[in-house]
Amino acid sequence: MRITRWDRARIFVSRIWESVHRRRIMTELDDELRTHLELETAYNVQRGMSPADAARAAKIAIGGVQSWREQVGDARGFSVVDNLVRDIRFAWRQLRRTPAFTASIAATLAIGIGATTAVFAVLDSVILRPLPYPNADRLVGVWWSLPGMGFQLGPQSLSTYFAIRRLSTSFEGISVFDRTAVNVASRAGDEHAERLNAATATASLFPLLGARFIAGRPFSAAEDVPNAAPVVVISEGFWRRRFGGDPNVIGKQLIVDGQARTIVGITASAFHFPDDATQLWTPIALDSAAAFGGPFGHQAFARLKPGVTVDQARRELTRLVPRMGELYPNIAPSMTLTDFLRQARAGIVVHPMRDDVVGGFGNVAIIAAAAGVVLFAIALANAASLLLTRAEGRRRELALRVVLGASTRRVLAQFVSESLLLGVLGGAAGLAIALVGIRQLVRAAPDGIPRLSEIGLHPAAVAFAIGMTVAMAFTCSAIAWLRLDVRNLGTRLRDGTRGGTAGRDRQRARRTLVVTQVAFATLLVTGAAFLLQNAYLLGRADPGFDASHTLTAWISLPTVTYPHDSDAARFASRLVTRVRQLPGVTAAGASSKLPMFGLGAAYAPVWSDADPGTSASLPPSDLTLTASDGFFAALGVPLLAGRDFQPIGRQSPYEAIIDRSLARLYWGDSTGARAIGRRIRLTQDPKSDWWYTVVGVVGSVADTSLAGPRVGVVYLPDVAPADTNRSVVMRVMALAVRSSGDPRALRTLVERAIADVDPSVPPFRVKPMADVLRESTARLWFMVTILTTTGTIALLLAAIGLYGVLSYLVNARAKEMSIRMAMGALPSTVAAFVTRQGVVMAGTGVVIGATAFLILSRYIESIESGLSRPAIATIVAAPVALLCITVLASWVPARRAARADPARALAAD
Amino acid sequence: MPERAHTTSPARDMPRTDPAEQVLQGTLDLLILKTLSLEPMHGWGLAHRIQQLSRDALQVGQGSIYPAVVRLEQRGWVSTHWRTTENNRRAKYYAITSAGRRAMGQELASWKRFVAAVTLVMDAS
Repeated sequence: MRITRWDRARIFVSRIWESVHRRRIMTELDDELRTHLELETAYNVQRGMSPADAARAAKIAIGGVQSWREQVGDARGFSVVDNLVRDIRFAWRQLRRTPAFTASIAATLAIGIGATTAVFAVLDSVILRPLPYPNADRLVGVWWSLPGMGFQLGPQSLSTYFAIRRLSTSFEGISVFDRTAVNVASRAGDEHAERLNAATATASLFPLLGARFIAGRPFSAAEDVPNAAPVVVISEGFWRRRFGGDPNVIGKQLIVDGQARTIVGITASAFHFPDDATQLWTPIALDSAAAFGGPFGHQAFARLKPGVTVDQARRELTRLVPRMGELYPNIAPSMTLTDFLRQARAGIVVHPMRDDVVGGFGNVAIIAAAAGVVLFAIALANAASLLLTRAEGRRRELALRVVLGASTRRVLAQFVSESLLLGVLGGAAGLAIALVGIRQLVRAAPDGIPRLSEIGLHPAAVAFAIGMTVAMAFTCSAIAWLRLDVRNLGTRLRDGTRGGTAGRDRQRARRTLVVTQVAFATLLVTGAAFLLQNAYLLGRADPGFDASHTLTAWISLPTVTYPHDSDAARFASRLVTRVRQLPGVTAAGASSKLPMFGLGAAYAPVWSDADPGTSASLPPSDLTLTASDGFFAALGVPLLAGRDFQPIGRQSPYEAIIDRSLARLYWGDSTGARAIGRRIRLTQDPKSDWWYTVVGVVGSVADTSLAGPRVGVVYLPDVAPADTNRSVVMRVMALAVRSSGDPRALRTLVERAIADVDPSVPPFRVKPMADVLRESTARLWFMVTILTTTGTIALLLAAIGLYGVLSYLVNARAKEMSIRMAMGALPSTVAAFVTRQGVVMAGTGVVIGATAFLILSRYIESIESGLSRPAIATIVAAPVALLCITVLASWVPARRAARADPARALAAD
Repeated sequence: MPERAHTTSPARDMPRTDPAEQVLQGTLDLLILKTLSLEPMHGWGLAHRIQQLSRDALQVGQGSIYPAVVRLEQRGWVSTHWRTTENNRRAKYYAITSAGRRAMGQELASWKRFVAAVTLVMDAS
């Protein structure tokens, strides 16, 4: 009958099902056959036979019950199962006979599968899995590109957000939010005030993300307007910790940054936004009627309507840009939105929200994934090589079986089941390694790894591990099968090739595998050395400040308890004075920002008095901070020219300190002397009388990273002119304290000093500046850790592979070498011969690997900015080390060859 | 069916049969389907009905229908259930499925073409 592919699938499935229920099916069949015989006997009796004759005739008619039983069994596929079980038992016995071999190959597979699965699991959890929101593929980040201001990705302003919300038809909704941190207390004057990560956001945030609430509700659009009754949404984790899971918390008050807010809802623990650490959400309460569109400081995301593509949305928004300026003309008193967008050469960026969440971690993941794949390839080559060696050893046994009539199908089945069994052993151990490895990876992960709470062994990763195991088992047996040429084993046996030298091409296969391993190992080790070189260079790079003796701390002053600038200034003054009196403190100061940490970063275009202010384009943006007196001394930033600020309270609002790069940029003087007394301003209008006179020039500071270009910095005094409503006074401030001893010892004292000034403002991020500096290179060190770990494992595997092949070579050619030595060859010549074999293989691999690294290093540089070129020493050192190790690996078999007793080797056969 | 017999993989489903047996087996499958299309019946009834229908010309052992119905069942052409016979005996009954009916229609058509072709050849010689 016609059997389609579909039928085959059906048959396969039903056979599996039937094999499981085999006993019951066979009992049923026996019943059926018995009924048949009884019916036939009864029929015969009816036709007049004697009962005995009737029974006999029935048996003849049915034609051999046992034979039909077997045929039905075959049709059910039981024989296949029988063979499989037999093969696996046989394979298990074979493996148990050589425990060392079994252990080494299972370990190789386990390491390969384990490491690759761990890396894949992280990649899968962080990058591949959709974000944990319903229909996450329709969530997009909406940004500006502002190349004219030096920003690849700029956030939204109040005006552009309202304009997009009003004009665009691509989105179901759009939301803007700000990440922030707040002081939280249960009641006024609460000593248990704590610092929490929070977000202020539009009311649209929760419905757009499909947030689940375990109690209450999200805040409404009516609560998300200026002067609405203050409300807050809290996370389940915070609710359990702070309120002990009190069911009546909805409607209660929470003091957030000094302001009483009503708790309206609790989000389910699975909801995280914008990151895992955020525990509170408050309405952003943007004012759509504000006269000015405000700074570009709000991050935006939107949900695409079904069927609208990212590209369509981007094109639509780009078309709408001119109309945005009509709707919201002014973003600042002296700047229209249209002018700003033109000068900044603004463009619309719409991309999947995953890009915003994953961010720079994508690069780390790609490099880790590449390392995992390479390690897997090495493990595969090693396993194949070991299996091949083993298969060669069993040539005679296999050949004998073929000659005795075993079908090649059966021999192959045994081969595969042996590999599969090894694969299962290795795969199970590999999964265990992966579980431990993931935990280690997460522990070693630097701050700011996205979606850390979601990392784990998800079904995709388990399926990946199983798939790899099966692929490995089949590849290994296929390689061995092809190289062995099993179909012709019988003929070979007759040719009389007993333990003699193996065929040339089989040796080539094994050598190729070793060369591949060494090449991949070289690639990994050189890559690790390259990143290590960079990490080392960064560790020695001058950050522009002296971190060794400085303790830092952050404080945030609520506007409710510190409504006026003068209140905040008084706090700063009292705090700095108090801290300076602590024992061991040599200097102390406050600033709105610290290097190597993003909080407080504000960029603004700066005009100098050398600039007439008539240019159509903006000057480059500089980092503008506020600083108090003593800050530079506390952070160890050298004062190159002029003087420091005056103490808080006596400082004029019209003075500024700039860094060396700005002195050079504006007045062409890197000593700074010529900049003293010159003037800068932060507005284009030349009639503005808010000029800052430069009173000091300090050294350049690495602000965002040790690598990469440094931005210019303008330090402004912590005071605003009395006749302006502009607030420059810090509400969120960083304290820097320099000590004559270990800055860690100051920690408690500084915390107590802050509590003495105001117990309701908890300090946060209290840590030595040296730790902050170290954290800034954590991502690089993370990559170094991944590559050195995988590189070391790779090196080990490659050395084992080389050792195995050379050992085999020595064994296989023992006869030849014995003859040579019997004929007078020196043991050293024989040893040199073996070592040369190893060095040639390793050398070839090293050259291939190093070349591959040089090609790939350009790619690494392109995805991870700020890396220096690989040094010659880096490129040479790793391969040389690798070569030394391989020479060592070949030394043991070489010695064995040299020491062999010729008489015994020749007599062995 | 018969003209397709050599294209199906012989080793897979019928490990110990030569082509002649396959033709026979295909014919048996068709006979079983045809018989079951009249009414569901148990194994013994099926074996007897086939012997009757072929007027005892097909000399196959009665047991040969059992491996055959297993294959038909695996393809989803025949369904089974246990029932009590008219004289109070529990027996396994076989019934044709709608997929079985479709397959039978196709196979019957090609069988008829085959018979026609054979007849043609026979008449010509």
